[in-house]
Amino acid sequence: MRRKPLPVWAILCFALWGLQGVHANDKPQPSDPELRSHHPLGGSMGSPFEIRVRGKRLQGIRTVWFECEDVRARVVTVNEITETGEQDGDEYYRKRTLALLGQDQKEPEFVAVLEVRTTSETLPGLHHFRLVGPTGLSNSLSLHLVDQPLRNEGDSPHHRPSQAQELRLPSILNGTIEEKGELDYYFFEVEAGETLAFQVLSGFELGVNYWAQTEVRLYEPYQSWFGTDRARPLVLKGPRLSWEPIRVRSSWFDRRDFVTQFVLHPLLEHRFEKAGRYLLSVGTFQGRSRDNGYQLRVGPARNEIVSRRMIGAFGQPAHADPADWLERDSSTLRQFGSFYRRLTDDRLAELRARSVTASSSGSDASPSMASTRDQEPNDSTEVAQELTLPGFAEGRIDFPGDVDRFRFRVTAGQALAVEVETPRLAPPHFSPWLKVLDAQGEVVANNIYREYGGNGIDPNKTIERKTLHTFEEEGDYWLLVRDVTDHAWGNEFQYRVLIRPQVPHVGRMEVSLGVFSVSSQLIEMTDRLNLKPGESRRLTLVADLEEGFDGGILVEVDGLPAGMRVQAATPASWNGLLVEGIQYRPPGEHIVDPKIHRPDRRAVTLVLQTDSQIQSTPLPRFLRIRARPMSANRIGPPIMAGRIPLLILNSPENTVAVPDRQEVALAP
Amino acid sequence: MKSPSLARILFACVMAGVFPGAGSRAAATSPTVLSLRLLPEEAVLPDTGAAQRFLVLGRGADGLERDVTSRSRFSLASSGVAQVDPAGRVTSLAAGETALQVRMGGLAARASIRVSKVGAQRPFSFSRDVGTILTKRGCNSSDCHGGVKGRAGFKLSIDALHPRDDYRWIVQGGDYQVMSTEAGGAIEPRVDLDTPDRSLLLQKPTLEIPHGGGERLSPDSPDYRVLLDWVRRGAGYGDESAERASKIRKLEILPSEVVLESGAHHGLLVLAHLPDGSREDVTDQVRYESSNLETAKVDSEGTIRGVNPGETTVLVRAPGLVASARVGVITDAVTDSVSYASRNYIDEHVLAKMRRFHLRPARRSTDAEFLRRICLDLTGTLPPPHRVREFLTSRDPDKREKLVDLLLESLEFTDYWTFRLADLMRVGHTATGMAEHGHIYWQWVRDSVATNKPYDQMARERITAQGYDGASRHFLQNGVIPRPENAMAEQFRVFLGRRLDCAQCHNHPYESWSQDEFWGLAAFFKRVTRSEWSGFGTSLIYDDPDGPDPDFGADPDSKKAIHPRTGQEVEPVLPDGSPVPAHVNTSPRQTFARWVTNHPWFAEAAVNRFWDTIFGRGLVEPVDDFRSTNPPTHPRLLKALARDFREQGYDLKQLLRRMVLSETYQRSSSPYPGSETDRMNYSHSLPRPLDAEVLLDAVTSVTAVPQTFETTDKGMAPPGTRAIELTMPDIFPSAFMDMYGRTDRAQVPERSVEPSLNQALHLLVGSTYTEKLAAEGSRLDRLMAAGATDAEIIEELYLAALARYPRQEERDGLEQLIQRNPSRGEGLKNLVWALLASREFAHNH
Repeated sequence: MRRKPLPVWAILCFALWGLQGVHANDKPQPSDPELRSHHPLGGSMGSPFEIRVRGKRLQGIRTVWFECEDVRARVVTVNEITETGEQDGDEYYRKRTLALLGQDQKEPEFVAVLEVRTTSETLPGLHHFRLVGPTGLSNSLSLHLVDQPLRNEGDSPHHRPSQAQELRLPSILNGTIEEKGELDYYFFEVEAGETLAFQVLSGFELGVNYWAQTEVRLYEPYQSWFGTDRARPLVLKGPRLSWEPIRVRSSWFDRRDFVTQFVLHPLLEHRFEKAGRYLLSVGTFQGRSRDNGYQLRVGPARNEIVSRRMIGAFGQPAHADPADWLERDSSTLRQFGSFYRRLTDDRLAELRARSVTASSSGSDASPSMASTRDQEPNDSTEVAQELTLPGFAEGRIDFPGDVDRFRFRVTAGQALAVEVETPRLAPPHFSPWLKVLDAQGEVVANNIYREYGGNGIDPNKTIERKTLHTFEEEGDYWLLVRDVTDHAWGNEFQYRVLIRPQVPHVGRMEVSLGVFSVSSQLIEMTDRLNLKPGESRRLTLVADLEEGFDGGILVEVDGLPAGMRVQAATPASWNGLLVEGIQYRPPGEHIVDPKIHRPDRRAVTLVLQTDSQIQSTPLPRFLRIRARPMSANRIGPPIMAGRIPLLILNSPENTVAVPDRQEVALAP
Repeated sequence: MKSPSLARILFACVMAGVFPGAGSRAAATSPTVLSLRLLPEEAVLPDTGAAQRFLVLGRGADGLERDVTSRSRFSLASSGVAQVDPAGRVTSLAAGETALQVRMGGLAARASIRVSKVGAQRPFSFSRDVGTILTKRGCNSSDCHGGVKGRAGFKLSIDALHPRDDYRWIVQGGDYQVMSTEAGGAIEPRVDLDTPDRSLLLQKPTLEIPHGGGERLSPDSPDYRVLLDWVRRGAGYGDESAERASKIRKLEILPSEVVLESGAHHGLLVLAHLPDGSREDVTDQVRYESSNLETAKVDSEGTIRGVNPGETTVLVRAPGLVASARVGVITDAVTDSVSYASRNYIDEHVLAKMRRFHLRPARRSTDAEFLRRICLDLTGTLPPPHRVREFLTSRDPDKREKLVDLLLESLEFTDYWTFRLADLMRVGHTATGMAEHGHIYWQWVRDSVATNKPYDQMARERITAQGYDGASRHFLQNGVIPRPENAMAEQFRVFLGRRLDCAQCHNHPYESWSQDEFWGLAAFFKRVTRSEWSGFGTSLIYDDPDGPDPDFGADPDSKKAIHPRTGQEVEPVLPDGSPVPAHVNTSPRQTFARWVTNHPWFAEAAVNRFWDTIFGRGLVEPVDDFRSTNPPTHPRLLKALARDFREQGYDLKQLLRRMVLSETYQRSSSPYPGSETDRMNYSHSLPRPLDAEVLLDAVTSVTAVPQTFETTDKGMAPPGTRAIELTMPDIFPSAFMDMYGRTDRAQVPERSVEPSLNQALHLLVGSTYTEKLAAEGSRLDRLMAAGATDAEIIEELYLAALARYPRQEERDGLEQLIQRNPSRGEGLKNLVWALLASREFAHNH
């Protein structure tokens, strides 16, 4: 009998399985707790509230660990879920593949109920938390805490327009999508001419599940001649898609923490011309997820309830990451949103603080920065505006196809950096295209870079926050600023371009446990360290060397418990690939563009090793990794590169000595 | 009844015959001739022995004009100016004026003749003199040397469209090569200047040497002598001014419409309009082709013979031009002169042609017919029973108009026309590469429909789409920027209704599109590129003056608009050669979009497409295959609709309103006897199968059992979602809809609605039907639970499925069948099945 050929999806799964095998030795066994989702997504400060956390390997969980010190929580109950229902798509494909491989043992899921309390010191925003149990420290989820009244959706079904629940404005509301394809309807009243903003936050970017991205739609009441229970969708203006860094860890074959992805825009604004009752619905995109929490925020536009400065659907962290340094958008070193980052008058001092030339006092005097405002018409070389260096060109795209031109003068050999900030809208909504032209009209610098991914011959173009150029000839040059499209314009399309001297410095740094070799991207196979006595774990620090910095990196690690040491090691085999990254090009390929631009990188491999007699740590602690730029005879100041929570488990019982208490533990 | 299937078939039998059937034929009428007229009514001839043929048409008592030329006697009012032969051919002698008189059976007609002083013969023109022979003899037809690669190495442009090229291949020789401008093969002339009668150009078509195309010329024919003389004179191309002066600007066919009975004959005259305003009789210098030999045949002299009842076109080919005449073949002429109601210009045009073609319109549709049809055509939704009752009992004389306005403003209209336009615009997962993008593209279509965005604006937005939102993903199918030629050809087909693809590799084999024109248009898309951040699907679409990047290591030229024959990069050029401004800051696609939406073809293609949706057949069919060789059935109506559409600001709702309020739309689908075979003249409403999505929704509506739609990644559309509301077919798999012809939108959709065995089997045992019949909580369940009688249930189901009350014989027959069934529930389920299986249900009529 002729065997049926394997379906394409199965072949693909085998191939991806094979890729996974590349890292088989690095991958920790899935014994530690894994959190998948929670709802409600957050709560209001001032009064305790409960949240339900869903995940695996939650048996014995007793402690909630917040990465900050101003939120407390306790575990109320932990129960196994007996009915899990239909899986999400990703889980479905994963299970189908495992079944094909004969590895489809079902792993139980649990729901932990937590009671959360805030203090008078608690800051609104995102708070990351983890659960600690006998098998270790879990991954983190984030809790949206608000200082506004917050309510939960009502108990009655409201999946049809006629069942809509009332929403009093302004409002922050927690809800749950319990079934696939479910829509939750709400109604609200508006005044004529009122403009409202609608933001829906979902678990997909906070936790682990891309499939749970939510969608909010607005309607007006509608009486169908055909007798159906429907509402008429409103036609909305503004972007409908958003470009977000999302976590895809639940994707079984892709162990990257983040990828960028177009998702439905989480923030809508609408001006209601007519007073009266309107409706909105919340659901997951294409009905792809169930048991999914969301937080709906509705209020006047530019209200504190709805923040446009929130980077997409992520939300604003309550506590800034001390290692955060946004120099350019990069998916290799996960950093997004750098177009929003404010370019201050102290920019040169900020950069020098990351160089070996930083003064011991840390207070560098910066030259004053001139600023030139865009004044139309400035669309031709003849009417270009004068720009003094170092200085800012500030303006906006005033009409479709608007190209603003600024003239500046350089001396021969001058090395300049051109940086752009877009304070209101960033790519992809506003994608500033910068070009520097010489007197002959030739482009000498451009912020759209060509990269070559895949096997080196798959070109990608990226729009960058910064571009560099060393001017060989003295003379006048022109800066051109536009949007890449010819139809984006208006007050939201504002820019600030800084042209300044280059400052050799250490740029973005990232600490990771590995690299995803296919795309040369850093991954975090876990965002925490659960170590047993005698175990070791490898860490990699990768640093961008910006603007010609060619020195070394000195690494310091703080927070090591007694019985644990850190040592430097030869780079892992994939380090070279990562350091060269997507800069490498195949020899002889004539499609390579000489304008390819990426900073050089340095990678340092650290090995964390525990003694066999090391004491277990009852609570997690942060390992803090700092780097200092070095040159032949100078060492710069320490710069926070990253931090990673660590828990020492008590082997061989494989349990952790967690204090027998229900109250929250604080970060060390 | 033991066998449910047999029972169901019995139910179906009760319902058979309710669907519109054929009537009887009207009696034949007498062909007595009442009046004569001459074509042309006047002629102006040069005094160079030029000739003009005349046709004599006799109008009979039945209103039909017949060709009576052969039965007529001709004479001239005065001699010396011209002479006339018995066939009605007038030849000029000297300058002056006279009149041609014709008599037949006591009837007479006259035409004026003026012979003007010219003195000299027209100078030689390669295009007119040689091109005419090559065209008339079929040498340059698409199945001979006018084919893509020519034939046997010898390439001629079709219908002598490109005489300079033809001259080169004849006089210089060599084999045509598709991908190069260089000649291949032996470079030997096809004319022999030393021994002209040994020229290949003459020896091949006379079969002096073997010729695959057979004998095309006789050595004693005038055409042979013309070619031989030309070679003897040195085979020159001729003077450019003579070329311009003799170039035919337009072909006029007299009459432009011919109606004749089966077996009857009718002649045609063809006049060439020249640049100086004169007309020349070229009846014997052109080639004639019938588009449908089953309906009519035409000989090389332009005489048509009616074969079977129907309608077709006769194509007339001359150098550089194609024209057509419509030909209707009838069995008997209509003799009455009833005046039919006309509500707007649509009716006037349609009725006028029906009169000319001796067709009579069907009666006005019943309210029930109209209600079901208008709901399906405007909303893709069946009216609920209570609305059917309400409409049928209403005595409001304006109720149809009011219902049309209500439906045009309904949410269901937005649903349905979003579905229709999303099909046209190819909104799909595979067509956009990512579900989110497909969704936003769909949302753009929906918002456009919801706001009744002018159709030209919609076209411009789609053609010039940039960024990441809206229609931009149309330029990133499966993550790949389409090649300029593919992007342009698709937009051209969607918005101008023409298929240019052939001209990509060579001059269009059937039309006047040259390869140069194709690439000039393609070049408007050559700057389309993308910029990414990371990963797939995160690209911005924009126009970069440096052009796009090659994919996956391809040659850098692979993304440029390179003319395949010349190997040169092509710059954007409009077909009229008008200059295209340098695009520094804006996309050149904006120029292309303006040209498209300002072109008369744009409105014509649009109204034809929507006419097809409403009437079941386009004025040009297929709707995206406008060609000179595929003329519209109602050219004046098409132009009137297009003008109206333009003047109304490309308002789709207004256009649809105009169409559905016409009497033409509101005719019954039961044809008037004698018009049963008519499928081109809208004498009755054309029943057409429901589209797959509409059919599934209709089944759901009748059974009241909701359909669930799962996505390929285990998601689910909200409960209550209808098939026409699904954003992307390839996200929501459905064996039922695929079976009934749903497209995946990967290509410009061409729905297949042909019945199939699979459909028949699915109807009998398919899950869509069996599950809905067995489901609890259905309409039938609720009726039975409420204690409805069999008669009440029959009526309710008829109203839900067919939007009409059952006829008495249907009631009686069905009640008996239900009562004879041991299980009432089973009997009633069989009734539901029979209704769903009926042709009346599955068609819009």
